[in-house]
Amino acid sequence: MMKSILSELDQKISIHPDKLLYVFLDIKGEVKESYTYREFDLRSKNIAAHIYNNDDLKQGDRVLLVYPPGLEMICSFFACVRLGLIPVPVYPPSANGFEAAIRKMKLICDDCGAYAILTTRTYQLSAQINLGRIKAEGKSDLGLFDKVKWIATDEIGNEDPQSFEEAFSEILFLQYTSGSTSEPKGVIITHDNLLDNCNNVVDHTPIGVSWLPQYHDMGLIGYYLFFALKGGTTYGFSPTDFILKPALWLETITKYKGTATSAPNFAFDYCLQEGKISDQVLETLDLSSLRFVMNAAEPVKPTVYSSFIQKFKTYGLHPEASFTAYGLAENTLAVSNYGRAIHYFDSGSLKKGNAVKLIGSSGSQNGIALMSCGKTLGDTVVKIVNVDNEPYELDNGKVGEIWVNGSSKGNGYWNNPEKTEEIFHATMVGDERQWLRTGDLGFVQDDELYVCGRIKDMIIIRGQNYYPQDVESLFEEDPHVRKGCVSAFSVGSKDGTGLTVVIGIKNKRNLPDFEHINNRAVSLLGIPVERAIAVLARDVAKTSSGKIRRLENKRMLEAGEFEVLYEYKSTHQTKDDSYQRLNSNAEIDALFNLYGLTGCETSTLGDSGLDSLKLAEFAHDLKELIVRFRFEDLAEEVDLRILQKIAVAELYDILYDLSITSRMARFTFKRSLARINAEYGEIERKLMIRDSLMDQKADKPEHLLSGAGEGKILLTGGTGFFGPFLIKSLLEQQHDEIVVLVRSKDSHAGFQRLKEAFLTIGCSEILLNEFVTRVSVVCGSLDRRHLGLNEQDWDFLSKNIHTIYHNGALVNYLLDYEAMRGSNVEGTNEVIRLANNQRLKVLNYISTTFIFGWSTKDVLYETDCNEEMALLDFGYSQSKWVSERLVENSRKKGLPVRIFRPALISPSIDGKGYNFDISIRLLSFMLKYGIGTSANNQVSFTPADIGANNIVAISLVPESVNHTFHVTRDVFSSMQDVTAILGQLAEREFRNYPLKEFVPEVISRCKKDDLLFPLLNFLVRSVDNISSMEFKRYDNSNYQKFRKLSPFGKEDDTLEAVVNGIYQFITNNHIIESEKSENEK
Amino acid sequence: MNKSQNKIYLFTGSVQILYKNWMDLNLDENELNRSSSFYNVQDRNTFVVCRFYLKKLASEFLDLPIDNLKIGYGTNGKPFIENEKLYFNCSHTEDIFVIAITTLGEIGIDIEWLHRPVVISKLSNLILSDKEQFSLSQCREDKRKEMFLKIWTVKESFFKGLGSGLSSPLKHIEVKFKNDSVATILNTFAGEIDLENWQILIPELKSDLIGAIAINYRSFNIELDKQCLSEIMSFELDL
Repeated sequence: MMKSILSELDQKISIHPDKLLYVFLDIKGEVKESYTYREFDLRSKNIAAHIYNNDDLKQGDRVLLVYPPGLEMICSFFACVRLGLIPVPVYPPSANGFEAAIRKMKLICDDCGAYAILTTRTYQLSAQINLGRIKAEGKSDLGLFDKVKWIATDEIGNEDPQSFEEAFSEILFLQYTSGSTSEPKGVIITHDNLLDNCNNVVDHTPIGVSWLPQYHDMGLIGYYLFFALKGGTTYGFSPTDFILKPALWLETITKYKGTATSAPNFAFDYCLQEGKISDQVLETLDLSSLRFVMNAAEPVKPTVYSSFIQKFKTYGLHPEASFTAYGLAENTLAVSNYGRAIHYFDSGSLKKGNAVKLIGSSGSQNGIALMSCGKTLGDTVVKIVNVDNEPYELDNGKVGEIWVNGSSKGNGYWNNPEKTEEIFHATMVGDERQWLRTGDLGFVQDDELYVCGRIKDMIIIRGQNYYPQDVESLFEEDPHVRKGCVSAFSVGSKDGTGLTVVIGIKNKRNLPDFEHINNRAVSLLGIPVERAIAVLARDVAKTSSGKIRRLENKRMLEAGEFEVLYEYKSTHQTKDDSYQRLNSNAEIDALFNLYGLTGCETSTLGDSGLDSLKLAEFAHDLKELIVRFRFEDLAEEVDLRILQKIAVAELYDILYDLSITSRMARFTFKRSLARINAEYGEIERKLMIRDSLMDQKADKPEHLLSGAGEGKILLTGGTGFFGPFLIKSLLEQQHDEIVVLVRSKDSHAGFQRLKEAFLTIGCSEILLNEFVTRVSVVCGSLDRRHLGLNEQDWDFLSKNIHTIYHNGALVNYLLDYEAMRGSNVEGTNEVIRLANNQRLKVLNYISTTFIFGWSTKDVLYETDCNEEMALLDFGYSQSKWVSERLVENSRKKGLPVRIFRPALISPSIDGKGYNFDISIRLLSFMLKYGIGTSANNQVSFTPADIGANNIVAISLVPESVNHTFHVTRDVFSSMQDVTAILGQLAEREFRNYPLKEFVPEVISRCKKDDLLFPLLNFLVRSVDNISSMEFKRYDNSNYQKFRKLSPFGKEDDTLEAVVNGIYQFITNNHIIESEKSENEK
Repeated sequence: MNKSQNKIYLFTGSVQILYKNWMDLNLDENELNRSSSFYNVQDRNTFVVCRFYLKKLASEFLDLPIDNLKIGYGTNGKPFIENEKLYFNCSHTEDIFVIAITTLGEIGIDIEWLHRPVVISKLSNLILSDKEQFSLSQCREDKRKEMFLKIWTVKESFFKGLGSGLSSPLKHIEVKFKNDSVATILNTFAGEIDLENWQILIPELKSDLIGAIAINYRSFNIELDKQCLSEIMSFELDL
């Protein structure tokens, strides 16, 4: 009977059941989950029992293990082993680079014929969603959910651990190598393989610390399988957490007195980089417990190896604990170990196949430094073989392919007899044994193994293998690239090792689409092309049989022997969160980390886990940071709406540019803001268009009664600033009763409220009597169905109103469209419904010139309506635009309408009214501080009494129906003209500034108790728009014409009279004390 | 379900307890895309479970099949059911979520755990009016966070009800608490804000859960009907 690893494990469980076996930590080093030996045994048996009793799997069936970092995968692994299933650990595709990873997973699934996938429920959902997305994007349906059973093991509770039968599979598991995307190869690892290798590698009862991926041999086998069989303990955490916080690795070793740890070369290098491990952390480290620090899985750089020891021996690291090793999945894990020697070899000789050691100072100057990978382990034998023709063994000191034999050698590739034969059953002259071909170049010297290259030109970047042909085939898809003339390899640089491609193109004039290819490389392979060099196809080095000579092409590139036609350098910032950010800044990192962000997230801030309050806190800190970067003006532009939509990584990049004061920093910042504002703008636009097509159908559109003549008038907005003036004009110019829609709990209270508003405009006793006699109130609300009226009132008004003056609206410069549409848009639509209901009424709609937004046209005619929706960027103008569209639509359907567009409405000539509109706030501010602007923008103040009078007057001219009127002054003035008059009235000097300087002057003076203060941001945001409207005028020909036709029409008063009214209002309401009254005091 | 006209229905639940992976099957393509845009699994699950129950509840209220419900979004992402006068809003804090549903008018709701971390000094200038800042400074220190969160939830619920985004002029409105269950909002004169029709209710929730509801409807006798989802809703999996 073959030995099972379970017998080793079971023995350990019985010896020390309560000893900690596995502990998994989070990024703070806190324990997320842990198992003692007993607990682990129980857990894995729970899973085994569940599968046994519920799922139709039998001995020998393959089962994929797809888990995020944690211990559940290990529990499931052993559950499978107990059932005699064959587990197949795979990389769990994440949202980043999902498509490439899931395709590879599918290939593995198909190759091994998996019957089930074990995972967590959360992961399963994530995969399903992402698969759905791929399908929705028109990419192929991978069918991973149709044909394979997904089992969420984290939902398995307590099952009877005795309720299943153990079974034995000689094959322990399948270890898929990080192979070509088109050729997955699953190494068959048996129990014997593992036990042999384990005994070779582990020489003590270890306390291991590992962040290595658990789907990778060095992580899974090295730290989870081996250590369990040796009665050790493993403290693990995720690779991502290592990248985010490399100090965690060394802190964990310190805390738990780790004895063993392993990592690829890049990780040691990473810890040496400036800023990665702070001095404060270094002071807390004690690495003296380590006896096994292994640098492996990718070529070791001697400088990194030495520097790491040099630096960390200060913190207890014993130099002799560090070493390199060599291994591969095909040999379970390790081939050789405890390599410590660094020697220099003559590079020319090496290329010719001879390892010539250089001694003394000439070595370090002229040679290549190579690290020994130590001596072979256990019964493992290594031979160096010449494979050019019939393979034969080479002597020590000669460079050839490394061949391996021994008990750790795997049993071949699953379901791939040809490759198994080629790789696992290789023979050489004079030796009948079947050897494992590693594909690596190396030599043996002084009984130690040295690895000096790859036969198969594997590209290794950050410990990951990439097959060059996968990259090359992407380029060959481009029609301008010559097939078979692309050569991919990795080239080292100070930033790391990057993917480089030499491309033979067909024609000098036609270049490939590098950006597109690069995006596909990232998407399908998970790696960007750092550099691509276009050369003539004939210049690309190939063998006589046409095979690409990658090493030769690399050499030629480095030697400058190519005629380079074009060089492409990627600006691609991979957003994969396991990638180290190329550009980082400690202050920015600190800000992001404070909110649990890495800065690499491609999701928006809003979707990255920050709720509204946290977002607000973040905004506060962000502004402070931008100010520290000396961009105070940009800090002002940050608002929560923007932050909700910006991607985290994009924001990081912007901040980085600010931190280095890059020339483009300001531009990039503003461009991003503009883009996001445009996105919001587009959403608003669509909503506005949709709303402008609202259904306006009345309940009873059949007009049973005639429209003209008898009945009453309905007014909305009677209690606002302009409403009382309209009431006054209606009382003066016609004799019908007026019903006013008021929001109130009852009509009595509503009437009182209306009367109070009416009294603010000042009127005679006679007029007041008229008001009491002819005005009544109906309780309702613009934003409700049927204007909030009860059925009786709705019916009454439908029948008895002949004319509507729709003046009611919300005026607010801070709220967005969404907040304004209820009253302004839906309210207008309900008024239109009423106008059409039972009796066709005349609708006089009080609109505004703000429907033109920030239009820069020189003249805006009464026939214009801003159809293109240009420059409507705040809620009030947007909602009024939509409302006017609704009215216009109703006109086209037969409703008689008039549209009146006042510009700025000022208090009446005698200073009456209750107007705290933006213009009054601004003017009173200017008066208070004695500042004005010399801008040429023309302003039109129409006093409320004049405007209301003329609106009513025109509405009583029958021929004026179905026209639009600009209720504006006939002659325009500048703000300077206005302030000149104000200055005389207040006996105050004004200092005038150009518009661009005026705004900073306002900002510097504006205090919280100034009326202008709440609207300051609006003004600041709008200054550029205001400036560009310098020459805008409103044509008011219609208004003038019909005003003259009415016996009640009034001409404009003088500017002095108008400004005097404004001044009276300001002083009457004690907005600021008049100079005169100040002097009198 | 007893669908009374003068009620606001509050449905509460725990994401962890109620979430089931098959709920995704009830999401349409837009919703699936939305759910995959979340970085955290918890947020994603919260979205999925809230949307699932919202559709189920709306379907019951409107007596319509779920497939006939069309959910639209306002400028700032506030969802609404197209062509139907059923108003709703959702809020969640950590694992707890609440769905408020009514036929009375636009509604906004916000809930926060009292124990949640909050840095008031970073938020007060953005969220609190001068008067509120002063009142808060006079508050006992151990009560300050609670008071802040009470004010915040009222304002947030109001602007959520309006459908207005996070750039709303929060500091230009003031909250006045009438008693433990009712508050009003005062306009500090930054232009018109349509406050008259809006009513603020403070629902009684768990002892350390703070919340507020804003509804565009004025009435003295609005009822709050609180129901726990896990007790009233059990669904068959329709595949």
